[in-house]
Amino acid sequence: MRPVSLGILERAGVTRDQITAQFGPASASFEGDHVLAYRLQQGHSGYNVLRTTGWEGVNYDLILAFDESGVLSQHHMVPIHAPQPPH
Amino acid sequence: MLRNLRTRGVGALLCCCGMLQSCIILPVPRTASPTVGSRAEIPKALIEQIGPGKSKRVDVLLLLGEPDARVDADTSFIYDWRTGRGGIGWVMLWGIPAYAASSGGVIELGNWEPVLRRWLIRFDDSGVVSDVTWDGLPYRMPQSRR
Repeated sequence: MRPVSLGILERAGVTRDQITAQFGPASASFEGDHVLAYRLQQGHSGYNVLRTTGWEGVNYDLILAFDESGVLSQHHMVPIHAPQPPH
Repeated sequence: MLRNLRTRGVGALLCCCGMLQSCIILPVPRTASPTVGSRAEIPKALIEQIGPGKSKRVDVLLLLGEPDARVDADTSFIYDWRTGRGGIGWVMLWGIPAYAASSGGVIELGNWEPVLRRWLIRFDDSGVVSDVTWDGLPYRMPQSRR
């Protein structure tokens, strides 16, 4: 489990290398590394990247698409399981 | 001798009655939610945002996330999940009274296995969606039904 800040996704010109430096290795890559996927769990203080093969505990699948020069062009947090409400 | 047999027969009958009395069939509400480790359901309304002949592989990934299986160098993506059967299931509670053996349990009656649901999305050579299959059957998008 790796805590991450998603603020980087809103910055202009973010590169794939900057993403992988902060998020670590992706859980999956597609289209010759032009699309990366990270499984996120929403915690009390932010998001954590999960290293898991199944979907247990995963709240979002973060999909990042990069252009030909490796700059982030699109991203979407795909809901997987609704986060547990705080107790 | 006859009295002994009769006593044994009555004893066996009482034992059977006792067992029968401790056997109850009950309805139990079942959940239709995804099983542990499975992804959540992907509703048809979400799939219908995909346009065969228009949506690219990256569009599908941004919409649905990473697939549960990738087929033949990403020429197809499989999205699947397992859900409980929902509705009412029936269980049999059984027990042998203390004077016999003092044990019991629950037997699920009928089929309680989770249901596998599956979307299969195929792409053409240029990475554009060619067709969508739902549980093994071609799925007609609303725009193609008109």
